[in-house]
Amino acid sequence: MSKPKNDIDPSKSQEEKDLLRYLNEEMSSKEKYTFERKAENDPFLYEAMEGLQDMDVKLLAKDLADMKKKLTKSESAPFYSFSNVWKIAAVVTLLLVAGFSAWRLTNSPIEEEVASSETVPTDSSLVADDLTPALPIANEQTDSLTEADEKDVISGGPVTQSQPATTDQTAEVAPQPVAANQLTETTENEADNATTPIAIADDIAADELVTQREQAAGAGVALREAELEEVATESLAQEVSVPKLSEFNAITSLDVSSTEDKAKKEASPVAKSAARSASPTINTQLAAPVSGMDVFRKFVSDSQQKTADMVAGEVQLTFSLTSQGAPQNITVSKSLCESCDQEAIRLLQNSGPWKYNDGITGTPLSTITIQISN
Amino acid sequence: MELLDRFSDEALWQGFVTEKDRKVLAVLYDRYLALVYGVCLKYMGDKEEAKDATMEVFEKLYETSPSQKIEKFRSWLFVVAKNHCLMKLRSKKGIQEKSAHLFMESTEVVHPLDEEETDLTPQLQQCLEQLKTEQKGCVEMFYFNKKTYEEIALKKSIDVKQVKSHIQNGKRNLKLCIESKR
Repeated sequence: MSKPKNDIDPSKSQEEKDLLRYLNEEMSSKEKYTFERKAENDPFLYEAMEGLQDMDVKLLAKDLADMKKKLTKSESAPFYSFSNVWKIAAVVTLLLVAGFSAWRLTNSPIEEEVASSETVPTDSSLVADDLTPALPIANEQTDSLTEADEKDVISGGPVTQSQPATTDQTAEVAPQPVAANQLTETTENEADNATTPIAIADDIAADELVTQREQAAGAGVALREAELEEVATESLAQEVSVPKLSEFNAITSLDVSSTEDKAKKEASPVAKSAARSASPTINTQLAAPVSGMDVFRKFVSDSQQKTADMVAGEVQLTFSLTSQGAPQNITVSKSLCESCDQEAIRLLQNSGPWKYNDGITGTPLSTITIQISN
Repeated sequence: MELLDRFSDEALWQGFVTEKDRKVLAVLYDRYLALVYGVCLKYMGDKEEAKDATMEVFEKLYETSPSQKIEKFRSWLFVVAKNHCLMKLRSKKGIQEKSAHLFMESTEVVHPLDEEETDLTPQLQQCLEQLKTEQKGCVEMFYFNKKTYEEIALKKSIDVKQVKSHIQNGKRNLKLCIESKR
């Protein structure tokens, strides 16, 4: 057995020259035979000759020169060079850091005034809270459009801020407190409501009027029926532009809450917190937590934050729900103390998504009583 | 570069994987670019595709693990080039089934006719007589009369490709015949 000569032959580049000479008919008969004999014993050379046998030698030389040039370039700056790998790693790291920072900013607890009233979509957080109802839900409560009754709402979770919005109806009832984000909700419901037949809208509005009265009575709020009637009439009278139920509720909720405006004061930051073991008394009329009352009860019990000026007792809240189940238009129907009221509102806001009971149409106001233990 | 030219393929390869000196690879490019291109042209059929495949084969050298032991660089590179082209053909034609038989591993066995001193043993003579006339004639003229492909083609009034085909087929049949007699 003979060894391939190339194992000991140091000059392989000569082979390319021989190949080109052979293909270009530049070899003598003897050289040619020797080269062919070598190819018979060397499948690499043999198959290369087969591939190149029909090719023009000048074009072949040009192709080889081009490829060598490219290979030399790629050799000097290969893509997977050490420096390029570090550049890629640096870019990836920067992106990760930026992404993480953005995530932290959007998910960290926010404690701020909502005077500027900006809106942040809450859909994703609401979906997530469906599975974890005890987690805080993003739903910022309200402010006056006239900025006369600005309130701080302490929220333990993502906060939805609402944009300033004015409509004819809200303008009429200003300077009463208005849930600005419910107006945003109006926009969300606009597509559905805009196509609602007027007759159906009227029926719903009338039903809600009854509901408002019942709730008002249950909450012990002295509703001015004349005003309520008037507002309802205004809603019903707007036949050209279909009444938006959420707008309607916003207005009626203003009536309910108007007597309790003083109860919603600027909240002082809750520095001291302690878990309470008390079981709050909860009465719901039209809506219930998606997670169920037991989970809600435990959340309220575990999450109560105590401040020095708190007293034991009950706080009754009135609220409606957004299409995503977030409590909105929260007003204090029965006040206990400033801190107690704010704590009750905070608990409701952070209690996860709610839903209306079966058979409830529209977004009527519901009430809940939360017992604060000392 | 001239100094590097004096080294064997294996020594150059070893130098590349240990020293990471890319100048070494340039020498290997010079030695094998034409061969790899020829092989790729044979399998791919298209000049541009063959050029792409050739570049890819040499770029593969960068990705080859230093721990991979390469005893004969030339044979190894041939297998790498051929398999790469076959893989490209498979993906191009959308062939899903595994056709491992298409892929060669090594061609280290030297045919008895290609040994440096070809002795016409009785066994080889007997097998030669069993070949088809065209195969026998081409093999005898090439190996024993030392005629080139072209000279045989002229003598036989056939195409050079046919001459090469007869020689290849004759060699294969001879090998099978000799192995069957062992």
